[in-house]
Amino acid sequence: MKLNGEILKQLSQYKLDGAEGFLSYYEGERKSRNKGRSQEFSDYRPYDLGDDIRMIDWNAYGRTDQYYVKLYEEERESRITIVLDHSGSMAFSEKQKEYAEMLVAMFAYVGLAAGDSVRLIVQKESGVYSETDFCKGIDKQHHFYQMMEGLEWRGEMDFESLTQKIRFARGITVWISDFLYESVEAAHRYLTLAKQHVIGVQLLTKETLSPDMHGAYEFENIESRDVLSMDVTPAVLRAYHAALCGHLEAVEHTMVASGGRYVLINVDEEDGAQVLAKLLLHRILR
Amino acid sequence: MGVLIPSYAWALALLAPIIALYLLRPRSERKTMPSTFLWEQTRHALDTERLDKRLLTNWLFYLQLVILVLGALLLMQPYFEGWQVASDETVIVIDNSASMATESGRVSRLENAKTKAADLMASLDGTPMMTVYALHDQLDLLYRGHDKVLAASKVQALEQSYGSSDFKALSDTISGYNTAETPYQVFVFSDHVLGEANDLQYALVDEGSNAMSIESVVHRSTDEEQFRISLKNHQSHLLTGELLVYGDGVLKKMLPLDIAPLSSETLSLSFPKESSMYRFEWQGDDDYTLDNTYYLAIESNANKKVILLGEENRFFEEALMALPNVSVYKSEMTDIDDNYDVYIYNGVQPDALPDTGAILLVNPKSSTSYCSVGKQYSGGQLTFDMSDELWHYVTPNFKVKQVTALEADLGKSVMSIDGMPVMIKGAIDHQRVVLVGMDFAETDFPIRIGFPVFLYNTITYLVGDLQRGEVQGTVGDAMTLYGVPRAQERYLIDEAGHRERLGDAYFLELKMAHMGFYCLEETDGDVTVSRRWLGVNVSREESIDFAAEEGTDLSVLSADVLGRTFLKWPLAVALLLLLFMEWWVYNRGY
Repeated sequence: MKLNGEILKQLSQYKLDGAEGFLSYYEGERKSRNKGRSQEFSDYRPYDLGDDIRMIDWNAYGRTDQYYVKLYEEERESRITIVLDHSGSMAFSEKQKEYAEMLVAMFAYVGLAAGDSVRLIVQKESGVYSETDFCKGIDKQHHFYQMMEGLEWRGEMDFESLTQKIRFARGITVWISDFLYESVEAAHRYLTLAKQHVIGVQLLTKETLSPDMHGAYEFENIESRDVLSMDVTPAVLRAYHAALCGHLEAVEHTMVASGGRYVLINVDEEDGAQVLAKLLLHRILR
Repeated sequence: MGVLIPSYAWALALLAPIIALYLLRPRSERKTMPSTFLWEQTRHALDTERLDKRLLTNWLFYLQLVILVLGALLLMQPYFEGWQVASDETVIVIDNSASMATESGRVSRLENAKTKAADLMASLDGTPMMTVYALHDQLDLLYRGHDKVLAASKVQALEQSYGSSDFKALSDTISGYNTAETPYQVFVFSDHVLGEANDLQYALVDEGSNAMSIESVVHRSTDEEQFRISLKNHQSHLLTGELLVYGDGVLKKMLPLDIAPLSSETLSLSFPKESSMYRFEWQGDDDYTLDNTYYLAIESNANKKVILLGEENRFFEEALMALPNVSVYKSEMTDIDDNYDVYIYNGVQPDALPDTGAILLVNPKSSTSYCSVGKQYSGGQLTFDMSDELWHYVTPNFKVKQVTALEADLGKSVMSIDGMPVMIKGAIDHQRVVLVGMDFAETDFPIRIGFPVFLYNTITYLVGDLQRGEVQGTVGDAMTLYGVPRAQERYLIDEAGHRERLGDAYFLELKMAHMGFYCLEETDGDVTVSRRWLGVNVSREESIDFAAEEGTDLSVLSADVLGRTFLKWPLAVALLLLLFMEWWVYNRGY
């Protein structure tokens, strides 16, 4: 899925928010809290033994008869990892799959446009993961499209295993999934320990958020092919909604409690503009 | 095992449609889902909410329940009960009074008492000394000895009696035991609550079965017969029934009544003076029916009608009105149509005596066919026959201005002057007559204390004893009755017509064994002199306080009549074991 020109124009204005504490050691275009060698003047400080005498501001010396050193802001890059859930459940609804691809493209574009390094991690086969190199520069976005074109949307994904097997450097992880599994908290813990600012983007269909059914069913899991027999009654539906709300709250709490960001997108009822607005509202983009 | 209404087995056929509905219900629809994760969580949540799932898999829960139950049992101190006899002599008293005939369940209270008494005798070790009494309107010794078999047979042969329990006799007997040196225990099998000696009373009391009682009926006789009937509902629910009132065996009134729980209701009823035997009967659901009927006898001829004719004498009237059971009437006419018990002619005399009633003729002024007036005396010595009943408790010290000698062939002279009779008593045919040859207004006799006594004696002589005694009694309690003096034979006749000869004693003390109406008939030869009805009811007393009986304290004998084996130690051990199991299960994580 390719983003059209209008959306790209809008996206070029934004950066991923909340990355200040998670910048890498590579030079980039994001302002760091540290002092460094950029062109941006930051402050003066009195000269001290050991300082490079080339840093002395002789104009200041002429005015004050004191030695002062000029300080400049340091600019570093942010390393963005996009983790895409391309299990069977994400492709059950075509729209859900489209939104997942669109969001990968969006986050990749925003990162590349902001001068950050961006990579995408996918699963080649069960337990074996594939990742792009950290790409930098807006001209590298085709790497992501190429990788997504060859993806197979089926099977199950084990994010706990993924987070343990892939090496993460300090940076931002954008995690796009339906989060309908139990290992969310465990995988998130690994990411947090790997100094990742985690952005969780949950994509769910209307059928999952508010199922409209009544009677006896045998639910077959598209990923595991397990069958679950249920008599769906109003009481069961109430219990389902309670379970859904409890799970969504747990996922949000997992993401937000450690300073991360979280957004839920109803793929059947929200368009691209609403998604963008939500990303801004939840301070994922700024 | 049996069932009460087997015909309801058809309800089991309803199982078929229920099973069919389950068999024919639609098959499940197969639906592929992106994820069953939330549905599994839903199933889990529902399962954990299901009572059976929550309870059946939780051993801690069951253990805690059992521990709690055992703890509560331990606090309640459960026990096995059995007879505990620790004395050398055992006194067994079986109440076979009327109330013991009430059926509690399928057997009567008496049968229940006999069974329990036999059980007690069988539990006695060795050959103890046993004394067995039957308690009804007296205390009968059934057996005294060491032979259990014989004692048991005596108990089994004991029959129902119909008197009230004579607890006074029992307490007197027990008081006698108090002086004995041999240790003994008394076991009373009764349906009475024995006051302080509650432990002596075995649990045969079934006061709960007494639903309704007619507590009292108060009677007052005016122009009509008036009654105040008090009914009491002993139950804690509303009772509905009917109060039937019979007069001389004829239904006079039927009142539907609703009586509030544990409350009394008082009704006022009045009937014309037609009947002398009133039966009040409550008809409603009640196991104890003895106090549902009240018998009330009215002595219709208790009041003697006395008419005063002739000259007015205020003292005379006042003295007559002070007499018990006397209604005084006055008239200036000498010929009266109505019937009176006594006709008193004061200063006048009829040409012919009335056909009925007795006659007191005072100060006749002229001779008639039945009385000749003789010489008048303005002085002289009066002589009194002090042995005569007219002068009982009278001191004849009054002053007389003038007396008239009388001559009549009646009977005997009780007062005379110079050998001439002034006061004569006797009878003409069956009519009693007293003639007095003086005007009471001309004497100071009416202001003397002996005057009303003299009148009482005179009226009593003329119409029989004014003190007739009670007409209402209680089963087993003595009724005091006074016979008519001239009667020679007396009989007590019950409702079934059985006649019991009472002898010729004037003063009677009767004890009735059954409730109902009785007739006291008094005869003089072939002539029936008097016939009066008596109403006898069962006692409405609910309890008898033994300790209140003077000189008797049964409560000292009441301890440990029933032996109790408590289960606290086995329960405590079981509780400790369960607590240990709880700790073990908790640590294992079940």
